[in-house]
This record gives sequence, C-alpha cells and structure tokens, in this order.
Amino acid sequence: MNAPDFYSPSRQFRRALTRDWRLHSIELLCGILYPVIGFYVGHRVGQSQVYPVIVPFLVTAAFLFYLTRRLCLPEVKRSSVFCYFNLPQDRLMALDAHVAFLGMASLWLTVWVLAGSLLKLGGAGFTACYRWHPDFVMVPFFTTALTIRHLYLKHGMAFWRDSVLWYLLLMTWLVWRFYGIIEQPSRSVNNYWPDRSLSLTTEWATAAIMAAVAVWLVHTTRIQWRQRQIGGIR
Amino acid sequence: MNVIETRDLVRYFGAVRAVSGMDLAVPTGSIFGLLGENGCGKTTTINLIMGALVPHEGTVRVFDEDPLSFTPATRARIGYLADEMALPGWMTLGEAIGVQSSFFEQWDNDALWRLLKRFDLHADQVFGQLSKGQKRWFLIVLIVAQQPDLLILDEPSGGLDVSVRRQFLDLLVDLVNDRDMTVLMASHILSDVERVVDHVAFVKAGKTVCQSGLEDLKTRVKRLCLPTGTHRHEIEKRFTVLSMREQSGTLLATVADFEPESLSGLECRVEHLNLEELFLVYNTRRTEEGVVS
Amino acid sequence: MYLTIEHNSGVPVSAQIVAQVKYLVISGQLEPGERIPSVRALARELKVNPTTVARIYRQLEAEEIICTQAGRGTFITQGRSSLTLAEKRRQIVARVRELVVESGRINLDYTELRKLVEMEIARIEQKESRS
Repeated sequence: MNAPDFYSPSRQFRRALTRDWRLHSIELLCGILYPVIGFYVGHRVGQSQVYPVIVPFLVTAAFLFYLTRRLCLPEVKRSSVFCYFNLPQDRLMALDAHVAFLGMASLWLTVWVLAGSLLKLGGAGFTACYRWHPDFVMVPFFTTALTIRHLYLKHGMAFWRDSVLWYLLLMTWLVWRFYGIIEQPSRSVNNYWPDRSLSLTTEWATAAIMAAVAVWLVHTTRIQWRQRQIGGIR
Repeated sequence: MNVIETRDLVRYFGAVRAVSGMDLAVPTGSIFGLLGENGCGKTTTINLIMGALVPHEGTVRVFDEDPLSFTPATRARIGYLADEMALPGWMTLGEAIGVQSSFFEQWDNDALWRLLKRFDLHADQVFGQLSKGQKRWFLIVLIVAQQPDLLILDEPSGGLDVSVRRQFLDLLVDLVNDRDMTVLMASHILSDVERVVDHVAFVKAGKTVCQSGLEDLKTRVKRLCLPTGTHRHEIEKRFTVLSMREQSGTLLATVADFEPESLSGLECRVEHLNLEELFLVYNTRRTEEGVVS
Repeated sequence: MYLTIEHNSGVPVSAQIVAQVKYLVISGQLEPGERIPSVRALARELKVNPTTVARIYRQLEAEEIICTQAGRGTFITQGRSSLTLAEKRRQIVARVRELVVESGRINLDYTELRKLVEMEIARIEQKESRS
C-alpha cells in the first residue's frame, strides 16, 4: 500500500463517509421517530378527516436542519478534531462526503414518511381520494441543501442578497400550500388536504424546480467553499 | 534545512495588517516558540502556514511545498492542535481512536496506548467525562499517534495544571529526541515555553522583532550594570545597545552582542536574562528608545 | 553523571552544563577514561533538545575534556592535561574577580580582603591536616 493509493480520492471519500456514519448513525436511527411523530402532529385522529399530509415532511425537514448543523458546524468552525482541517483530507472531499451522507439521510427519512403514509399512520394514507404530492417530497432535500449553503458560506452582503431570494421562495411555497387549508376547509366531497384541484403536473413542475435549485445551491456552495479562507484576528 | 519558511508574509483583515512582513525559518528538529502577546498575529501566521489563509504578499513554504496546494500525503505529516479543539462528548476513547486512525496510513497504536496509560485512560471511557487535563492529553496523544514530522500547536498548555503542563512539555522534548520531529508552538506563557524551546521568534504587531536560537540569544544578549559616571557612547562604541536606562544609581545597558573580551577595562557587572526578560527587552524596545533619545 | 538545569535562570543551558561537567572533572567525581552518556541519552535524560547537547559535547571536545571514539562512545579524556590546569585557573580567576568587585562595592579594604582570604586558607589547611 503506497501513499498515493492510500490518499486516492475514492478512498478519501469512503473514509470521510464512514466517519460521518460512525459519528451520526445513532441520530439517523433515532431520527425515524420524527417523521413518525409528524403524522400525529397538527390534527386529532378520529375527529377530523382533514389530514395535513405536509406536516411529516416539515418535521422531517426540521430534523434534517438540526442534523446538518450538527454535522457541518464543527467542520466549518474547525472545533472538532475530526474536521477536514485536522485530517489529511481534501476539504472539498470532506464537503462532498457530508453532502452524500446528508442526501442519503434525507432520502432515508423521506422514505419513512412515505412508508408511514402507506401504513396510514395518523389517518394519512394513499386512499382512493388521496394522492401523492411530489413537491412535498422535495422539502427535506431542499431544506438540507439550503442549510448546507448557509453553514458553509461566508455571511457577506452577496450571501444575504441571494439567500433572501431562496428563503422567500421557500416561504412563498409554504404559504401557497398552506393557503389551501384556509381556502378549502373540509368538505364532504373532499375530506383530504391538499385537495386534488392542483394538477399533478404543476406539482411535478414545482418539485423539479425545487430539485434543480437544491442542486444548484450545493454546486455553488462547493465552488465557494473550495476558495473560502478561514480565520480571523484573535 | 528548514521545515517552515516564510518570507515577507503579509495578511490583511480589512484595513488591519494582522501579519505584516513575517519572516520565519523553523529548522528541522527544533522546538520553535512563536511568542507574542495576544492579538499579535500568531494564530493568523499559523493559519497561513496551514494554508487556511491566502497571503496577500510574501511566500510560505512547508516541507518545501506551498500550503495552499498541500496534498493529503503532505498534510498527514503535520499534526495540528489548537486550544479550542474537541471531540463529541458522547464518544468513547476507543471509538475516537477508531475514527481518527482510519485517516492515517501510518498509525502507531503501541505508542498511543503507552502514552494514554500515563493518564489512566482506557478505551471505554467517555470523552465528555474526562478532566480538562486528560482531554488535552488524549488529543495530543491522538495527534502523536499519527507520527507526524511537524507538530503545530496553538497555545497548547493554556489553562492546564502544572503537572499536566510539565508532562505535556516533556512529551514534546521526548518526541523531538526520539523521532526527529519538529515542533512549532505559539504561546504567550513564556515561563512554560522556556523549558523546552530551542528557537524563538518574538512577534510584535504581526512581525518578528527577534528570531534566534535560544542558547545563542542567552549568550549574546546581556544586561550590563555600570556606574552612573560611565559614558554612554563608550558602551555604544563596543556593543550594539538594545536599551539603556538609569535606575537607582546604576546605568543599565542591554546589549545584543555581548563578548567577555569587549568588556576589558570596563567596570561592570553582567546580568543574565531569562526568556521573559529577553522578550520584554525586544517587545518594549521602541518605546524605551523613545525615552532615551 | 548528575546534572541539573535551571531553565529560567537566563544562563544558557549549554553554559550551565559545560560548567557542571568541568566541575565534576576537576573535583574528581568524573574519572579520566570514564564513559559518559551519548548525546541522545543525555538529551533524553535532561529533557533538552539533542542539538543543544551536541553543541555542549562539541565544546567539551574542543577543550579536550571529553573525547568521542567512533563506535565506542564518549569518554572523559585520559590524563590530566595542562588544559585542565588552565581551566582550573580560569574558573577560579572568574570567581576571584567577582569577589574583588563585590568587596569594592561594599567599600571593603583590599588589605582586609587579603586577610580574609588568608584566614580562610589557613582554616581549611588546618582542617585538612587534622583529618
């Protein structure tokens, strides 16, 4: 085993990913609880048929925000021994490993939300009059990408100018989707929220935009992180 | 052969010149003390040496490479420990060792456990429950086990008990003795450092005001205690005078190039200066000169 | 070879050790031909940098107080050379000079000083003859 081999990009990547797994696997396993609990938050089972299926996704997104912070903050602040700065590791490689790990974590938890829907937890479920909403599925991924960007970039003027746009975009989407609750209280014809009036095509299009923006956020973060300088006067 | 070499290094933060014209040469196998008061640019210099910052002017070479393009293999030769570094509190030492060791091609487990035993540390202990001294010891041992060729320590013994500090510093000397390691140590606690360093650089306002082997410095720089009647220019003719002042009937002249031979015919007592006094001589030099002239 | 170092004294470590080794040789605590530790061993024992110890050994070798035999180790030079005598004289002269300067500072008469030195020598001679 010679030196260049030991430090080859693929092995560096694998090591960094293993490190993330060793440090955060417990959180991933316990994290299942959050989407599951999400099914029972915001409505009373048995009293109303209106089920806000968005809630488990939002709870999952909140948990992913917390996990991303725990994973990335010590790295950015260099306060952990295990951050890229103290290890023979390319800093971009370390970020890529985090992105991969968090991407898988988002997928893992989202799968649990979908599984919960199949199991009709809290009254949710893919019944005949209820259908699947692609743009909800994108929320955890989008939040993770936004958090990564927030943690890794320097908070200068340019950062806030762009960020305001993305945060507004997320908020607008939330308001737009929640608006349905106020606008369309449970009706006998349609006991489920969101209703089916929004076409599936629109939802797919929204999801696609969110996915594209998330990828773009991570991509620009990578570029800026590679060039970012650390440290200040102490 | 120098492990670290910086030349005319300049780094701004906004309008502040945190490092302004730093020249360092850290020889292989030395314990090099980067000494200065808080906020004088020590940490920024270390960040430049580690490639975390891009210099605005000047160059840095470490192992004859540019830190901005360190390969991981070169990076593995450098062990770095800063004051605020820690591990997740819930981790057991065994787990931490497992994670850390996976990143290094050369890992010395024997040395690791031998050193951990000195502080009664076991694999199943939890990091968060260790004492402050034990934590620091564990971290330095973790870094020693990487078998680095260069150790960069930023305020390594701050806030530790005397006995821990002593063991810590002795470990550094042992490492240099046994492994030809080079140590760069930034500190503002001079009495601590004096035991172990053999090269020093005094830093003031982002610049080295003195850089030398400590033995050499202690041999060269002396304070002469002369009777008040002595002509000042008589001393200035023989020596390079760093500072001169009168105090309770004695003329005190600190000279930078003391030789016993140059004293001939001069009635005086020679005082030795320890590291703290040497530091003060160089650090307050400008103001003292102002008073004299 | 027992040596102590005062790190915070201001006297260079090498000067401290050279003086101590010379003293040990002059006072007979280190015998001619006696083996002394290697550079690394002494550095480890004293917890000082090996380059410092190497510098000390170079100086002692230059003054022919020790000699290094390749592959065998470092030894105290055989046979009391005239250099040792010169060195004795040099070390004593330094002390005497301090003594004289100090006496002048406290306004002690030089005849008084001479008398004191004579008295001290007489006292020690007496003690030695008795034992």
